[in-house]
Amino acid sequence: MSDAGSPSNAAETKPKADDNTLNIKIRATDGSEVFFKIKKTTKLNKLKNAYADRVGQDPGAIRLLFDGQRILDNATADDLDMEDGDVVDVLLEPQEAIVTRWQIVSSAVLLAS
Amino acid sequence: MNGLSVKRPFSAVSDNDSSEHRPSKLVKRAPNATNTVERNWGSWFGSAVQSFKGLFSSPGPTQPPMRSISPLASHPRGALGWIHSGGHQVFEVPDDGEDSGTEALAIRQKRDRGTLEARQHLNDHAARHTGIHHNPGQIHPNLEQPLFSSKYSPNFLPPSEHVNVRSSSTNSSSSAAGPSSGPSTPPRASTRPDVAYKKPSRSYSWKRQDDGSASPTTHEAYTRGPKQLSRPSKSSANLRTGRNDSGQEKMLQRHYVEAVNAGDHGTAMSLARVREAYEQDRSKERRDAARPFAARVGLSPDLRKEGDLSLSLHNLKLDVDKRRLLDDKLQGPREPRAVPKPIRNKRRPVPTSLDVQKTHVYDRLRREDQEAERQVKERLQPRIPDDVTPQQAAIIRDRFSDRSFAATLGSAELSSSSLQRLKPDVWLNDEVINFYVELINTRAKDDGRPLHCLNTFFYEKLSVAGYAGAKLARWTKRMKLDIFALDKLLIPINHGNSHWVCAVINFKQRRIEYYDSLADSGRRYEVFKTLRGYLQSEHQEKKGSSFDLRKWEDQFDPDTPKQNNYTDCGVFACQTLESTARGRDLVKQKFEFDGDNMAFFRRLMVVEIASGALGARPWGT
Repeated sequence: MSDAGSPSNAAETKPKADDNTLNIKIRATDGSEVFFKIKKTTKLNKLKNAYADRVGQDPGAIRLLFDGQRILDNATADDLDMEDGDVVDVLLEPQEAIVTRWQIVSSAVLLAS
Repeated sequence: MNGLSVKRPFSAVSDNDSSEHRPSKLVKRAPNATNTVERNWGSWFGSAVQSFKGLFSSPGPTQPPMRSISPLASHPRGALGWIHSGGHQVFEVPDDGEDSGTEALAIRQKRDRGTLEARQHLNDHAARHTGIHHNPGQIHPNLEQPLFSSKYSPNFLPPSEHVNVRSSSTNSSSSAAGPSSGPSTPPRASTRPDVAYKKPSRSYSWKRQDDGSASPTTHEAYTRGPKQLSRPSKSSANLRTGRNDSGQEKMLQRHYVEAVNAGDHGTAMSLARVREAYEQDRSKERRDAARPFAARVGLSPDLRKEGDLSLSLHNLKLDVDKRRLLDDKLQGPREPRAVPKPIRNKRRPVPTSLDVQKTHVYDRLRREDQEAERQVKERLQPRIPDDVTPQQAAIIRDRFSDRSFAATLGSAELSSSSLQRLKPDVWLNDEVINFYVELINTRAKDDGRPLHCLNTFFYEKLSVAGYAGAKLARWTKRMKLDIFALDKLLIPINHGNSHWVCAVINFKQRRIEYYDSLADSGRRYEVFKTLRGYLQSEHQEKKGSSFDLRKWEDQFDPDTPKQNNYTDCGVFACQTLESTARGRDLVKQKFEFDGDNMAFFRRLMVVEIASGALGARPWGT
C-alpha cells in the first residue's frame, strides 16, 4: 500500500532530520509490514523487542533476518551496513509441533488419496 | 546217582551200560539227562516258597515243618496233600529184572525195520516210474555221479565219461518209458566235447534248450546228464529277475547227493520233484517276462507266442524301412547329419617365460589379498561409540547446567534454552540447526572445500515468498557467494514447523538430493520443484542466462536410515549435512549412522557447539 512511497519519503526526510537514524521496514512472511526508526548505533535487540511488543510475541521466538543473515542481538545497523529504507525480514521460531503417529498416518492417507 | 549224570549216546546204550541204572530205584525219564540231585534241591526250594505263600495267605491250616531232608523219600507231607512244585516228575519203575537196554535195542530195530520197509517200498515205487531197478543199499550205476553237479562242483567228471553215462541212461529211459517221453536227443556232449573246459559263456538264451519235447518229467530230470541239469541254474530268467536261486539249488543238490549215497531213494525222489517245481517256476517266469516286452514295442499285449512276437517285430521293422524309403523318394536324399565338432576347452596359454605377475594364479592371489585386506580394514574401522568420552561428558554436564550459556558463531546465535533441546527426546529448534550450519561452514572454509550450507530461513523464505518476493538475490550478494562455483549447496529444510529434513544441491553430480529420516512424505516433490526454480532464477539473476536443468535428476532413497522416535529429525538432518559436507557421497555410499546413534550424536553436538568446532569423526571415511 504505502510501500512505494515510504522509502522515498524516508530517504527524503530522514537524512535531513538526522544522519544517525535509519528507517527500517520489518516485513513478516504473511506480508504485514511495520516501520521502525532506529539509530545506527542502537543494538538491534531493541528493534526486536519493539517488534515483539507490537505483534505480541515472545522476543525469544522472533528471528530478524537481514539479507539472509540473522541479526544478532548485539549487532547494530552500522555493523550490518544497513541503509535507510532497508527491509528486515522477520521469522518466528518454528514452534515444536509434536509429530504424532496420527499425523504421519493422515499424511500417508492424504498421499494415497 | 553218579551214573545218571553221565550223558551217553543212545546207540551206545547196551546191556552193560544199563546195569549202572540198576541200583537206583527211580529211573529218570526226563529228556535231558540233568542231575537229579540238583533238581531235587530245586524242588525243595520251590516247596519252601510254597509254604511261605501259604503261611501268609491262609494261616488256618497248620503248615508242615520245613525241615524235610529229601522230598524223594516218602513223607507224611504227601499224605497231607502238599503238592509238589518244581515241574519234574518222579516215576517209580517196578524192578522186574528186565533189561531196559535190550528194550531200547528192540525199538531201534523196529525203527530200522520200518525204514527198510519204507525204503523198499520207495524203491519199488521209483523202479516202477523210472525203470531203474536196483537193490537197496546199492547205488545205481547211473547215480554214482551227482546228478546236479556242474563243472564247478568238486566231484565233476570229464565229459567223456558223461557221454557214456548219459547215452546209457537215455537208452534205458527211452526203452522203459516208451512213447511218453519225447524223441531222444543226439548226445550233445559228443558234438561239443570240450565245452566243459571252455570259459563259461555269459550269453544265455531265454529260449529253452529244448529237444522238441514238453517240459521234462521227473524221470527225465532224474536221468538226464549232469551238464543239462545244471544249466538252468544260470538261466536268463534268473538273471532277469535278479533272484538268486543258486544257493537253494546247491543245497538241494547236496541233499540229493547225500540221499542217493545213503541209498534213500524216497528222499531223492522228493528232492527231484522239488527241483522240477523249480524248473516249472522258471519257465513260467520266462513266459511272463515276454509279455511286458510285447506291450513295450506296441504290439498286442496278449501276444504270448514267441513266433508271433518275432513276426510282429519283423513286420514293424519292414514298416519302418518302407517309410524311410518313401521319405527318401519324397524329399530326396537325406542330408548327412552334421557331425558336431567336439567341444574343446579353452586352454589358458602356457606362459613361456616366468612372468609371475601375468599368471592367473597371481591375479587370484592378489584379489584374495585385497579382499582380505578390505575385510581387515572394515573390522578395524572405528565404529560410532555409544557415548562420548568422560571429558566430553563433563563438558556436557557443565554446559547444560549453565543457564547463562550463549554461543555466537558467524550469524548464528545459540541460547541456553536452545542448547537444552539437545537433551534426549526434545525437538531441535532453528537455533541449534543454524549454529550447526555455521559449524559446517566454518570447517568447509578452513578446509577450503567449495561448499556452502544455507541456514534454515532460506527455504522458508523461498517456499513462502518466492525468489523475487524474498529478495533472495541479495542473500548471496551479501554473502559474496556464487553458488554455481560450488560443489554442493546444503539446505536444511523445516516442513510445517514439525519436521527437519535436508536437501543437497550437488552441482558436480548434477542432482538434487533429498534426505528424509522419517516416513516418505510427498513433500520432496515440492522441494525438488522449488529448488529447481531457485537455481533457474539465481542463474538468470546472476549469470544473465537460463540454467540448463535438463540433465539434472532428483535423487531420493526411501531406504535411508530412519529415526526411532519423532524428535530426532533435527539431529538426523544435522548429521546428514555434516556427513555430506565431509565429502561422503550418501547416494553411493551407505550412511555411517542410523537411528540408534542419535543419542550419541545429541551429546556430541553439545560438545561441538560448546567448543565451536566440529569434532573429528574417525568412523567416517
